[in-house]
Amino acid sequence: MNQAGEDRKIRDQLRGELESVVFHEEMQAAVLSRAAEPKPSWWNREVRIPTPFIAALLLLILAIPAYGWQQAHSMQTDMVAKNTGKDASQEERIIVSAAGVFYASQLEGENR
Amino acid sequence: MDEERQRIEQLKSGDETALAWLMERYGSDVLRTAALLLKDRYWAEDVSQETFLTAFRKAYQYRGDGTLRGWLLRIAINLCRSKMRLASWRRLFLRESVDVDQGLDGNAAWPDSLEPGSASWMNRMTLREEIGRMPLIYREVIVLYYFHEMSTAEIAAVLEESEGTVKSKLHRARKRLKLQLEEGGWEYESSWGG
Repeated sequence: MNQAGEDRKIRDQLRGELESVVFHEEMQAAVLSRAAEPKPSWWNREVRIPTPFIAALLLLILAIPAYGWQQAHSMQTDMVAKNTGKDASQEERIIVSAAGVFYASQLEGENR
Repeated sequence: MDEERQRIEQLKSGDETALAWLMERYGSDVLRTAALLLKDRYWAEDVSQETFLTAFRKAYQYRGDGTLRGWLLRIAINLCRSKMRLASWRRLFLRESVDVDQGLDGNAAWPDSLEPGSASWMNRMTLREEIGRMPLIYREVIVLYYFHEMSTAEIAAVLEESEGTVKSKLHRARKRLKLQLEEGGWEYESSWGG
């Protein structure tokens, strides 16, 4: 069978299969009644938000506090490290001698 | 053609008699297209009703550069795509057992009252089922080519794609359908006595 003949037969077969699928009067009536409904006011209108948009928004809502927490945590760690370093640098040796009790830096100044 | 133009003008002005005329004329074509693309009776009915409602509400968007049937089919196909996308998301997030792309046939078949007879219906269902097994991108061109008897240029206009893309899709789709029919036990030649 040639291509055109095959196409013809497929078309006929498909039409035969779908013969009973009819857009019946009840469906027409349903459309007409929905069409006759007054347009809802803009604040009362049904809005369909696409699912990918909702997913992205949800991800963003979760990501913002996570990022904030991460920033706060690293800032805290930095501050602790800074303070520890400062304390270490501020720690001075105390030298006790017969003349009294001195900081090492005082004696170093004297030596110079 | 003059009547069609007149009806379009009525539709643009919100006349419901034009909507009734539109459904009378193209209702079954749109419903059958949706049935072939979605393979689910309720979804097909939903989509076809939504198509006419959209056409009525957005009639001003019809510029008259294509056929009215083509414009309606474009709306219907876009709505079918949205339904399929929604089903995919639902399947992904809600784990619903809706297998739209690979066979929803059994879920909501057409009622017996619409069927000419169960035994003959089953025999005649085969081609429709085979088309339903194809991916949506092929299904669209197959339905427009075979069921609506459209040329590649007309299909390209409906799908808003280039004619070259449609030609290559159609070539692959027809090849695949033929293979499926031969492999799937559908008696390609003998069913028509060829």
